Amino acid sequence: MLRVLVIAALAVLLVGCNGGTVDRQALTNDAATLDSIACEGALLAHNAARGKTTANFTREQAEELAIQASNLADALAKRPALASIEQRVRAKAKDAARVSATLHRLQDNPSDRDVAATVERQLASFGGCP
Amino acid sequence: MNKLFGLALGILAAIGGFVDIGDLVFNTAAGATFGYQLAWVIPVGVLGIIVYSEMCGRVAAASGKAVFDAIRERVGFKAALGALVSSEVVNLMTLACEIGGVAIALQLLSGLPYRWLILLAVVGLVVIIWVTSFQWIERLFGYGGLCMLVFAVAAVKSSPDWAEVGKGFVPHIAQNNTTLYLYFVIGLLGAAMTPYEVYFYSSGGVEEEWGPKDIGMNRANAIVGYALGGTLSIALMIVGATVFLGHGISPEHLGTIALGAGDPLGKVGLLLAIVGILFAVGGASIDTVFAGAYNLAQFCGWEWGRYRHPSGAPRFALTWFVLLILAMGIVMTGVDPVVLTEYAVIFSVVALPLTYLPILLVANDRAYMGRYGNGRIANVLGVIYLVVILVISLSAIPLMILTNTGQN
Repeated sequence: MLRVLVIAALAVLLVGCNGGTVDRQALTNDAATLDSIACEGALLAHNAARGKTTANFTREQAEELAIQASNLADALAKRPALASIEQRVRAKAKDAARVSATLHRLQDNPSDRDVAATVERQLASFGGCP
Repeated sequence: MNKLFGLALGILAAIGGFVDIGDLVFNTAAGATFGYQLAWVIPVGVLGIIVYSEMCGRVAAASGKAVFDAIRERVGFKAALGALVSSEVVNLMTLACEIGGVAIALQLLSGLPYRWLILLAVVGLVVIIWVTSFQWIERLFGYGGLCMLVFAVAAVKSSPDWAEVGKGFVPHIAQNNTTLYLYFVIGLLGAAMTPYEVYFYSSGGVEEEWGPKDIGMNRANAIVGYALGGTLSIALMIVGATVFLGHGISPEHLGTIALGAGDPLGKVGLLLAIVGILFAVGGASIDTVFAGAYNLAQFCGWEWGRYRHPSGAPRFALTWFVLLILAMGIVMTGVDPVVLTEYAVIFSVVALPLTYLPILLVANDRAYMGRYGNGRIANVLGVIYLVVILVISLSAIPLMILTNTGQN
């Protein structure tokens, strides 16, 4: 019984891993993650532009988000993808890199309200934030 | 009058100390993903922890024995060893998460490097445990954790649709993405009913030398303290729904949760939120590390006690010190404390029956409890929750895999 359970669990894990290939589902998930990062960055920048955060908080939080976006960009640029969606995957990698670069600008200028306002607009546009 | 004062202090400390990193992560993420739909799970979880904490406190008051003492005596060596191993693994994971949370909160306040702050957090905890009386530790972290009430203010200020919030308290299953919804149900219940809370609570009762006369106080503390603490969980869920779901954000960082208070309340709200998180996870670190040391010491029959000087209970002191060092080692690997929290909560759910079944058995044992054994209400609720615990314990790992730890 235990052996069957272990084999079943491994099978589910392997199916979940999908061999590391980016399929439609993985692309949808990664795109949603990227939108979430961009929208959070936009909210952070929005608050920074209005003096509602501290410089330390803005810097650290922007860095965390930039690293997350950068990791996503690396993964989307390097992982094998289904041929039918490969172009979209690589395009999404470039979007993620742009989001990361924009967040780095906020990280480098955490007290500059003008920079924060610009970053907010760019990230809100990237993420299609509500 | 003194009793009333003691009760008020206990309740304040319980409110401030209720929320730990598991509650922070799961309540906010649940709000950001499903809005208010999962609000009903919070009172269910809070009632569960009230039922079993009250039982543990009563066992401590009636028998003078903490939970693990009772487990070892009543369920035999093998079952007790299983409970010990599972609880220690979950405790260590949870402790690592809490220490990581302390370091992140310090980083958000100071901007200093994360790894140095992990070291500072552990050194700080060792110093506090070593030199401060436990009464002051409870007060420091309990009252400091009251800063978390800023999330209740933020929840009101963010103008939620209260009718929708009210509908969330009616138990139901979501039609969309049911698997993910069920994963969050399990996570929220696991976060509310974390095993270390009952281990810590019952050992604390023994250390404070509760007797039968304290059973009423224990009951009031458990009911009022946890119920009011649960309102913080609801506030976190509302903030998750209004601030994050409304902005299309899936919170994956501890700082994001603080931003949830900062957005409606500005800089002061943000700072109070970070300080509240710092005290909440700092206090939970101490609860967790002591729970781990209590369990091992009680299982092995060592001298134990936070009120003793370390020289009076050297193996107990060595255990909490080693647990802190091991947890620091885990966080130093660079593992994300928020991701680790999700695993810790889900694994704690798997271990829940090993914690709660022996408590129910002991609290029902008239030879052990005399006339303070479970009454009808405690038994009915205890059995209902045991069934719930068994179901979620069996479902936790499959749901974690199917939802890719809540990412799908």
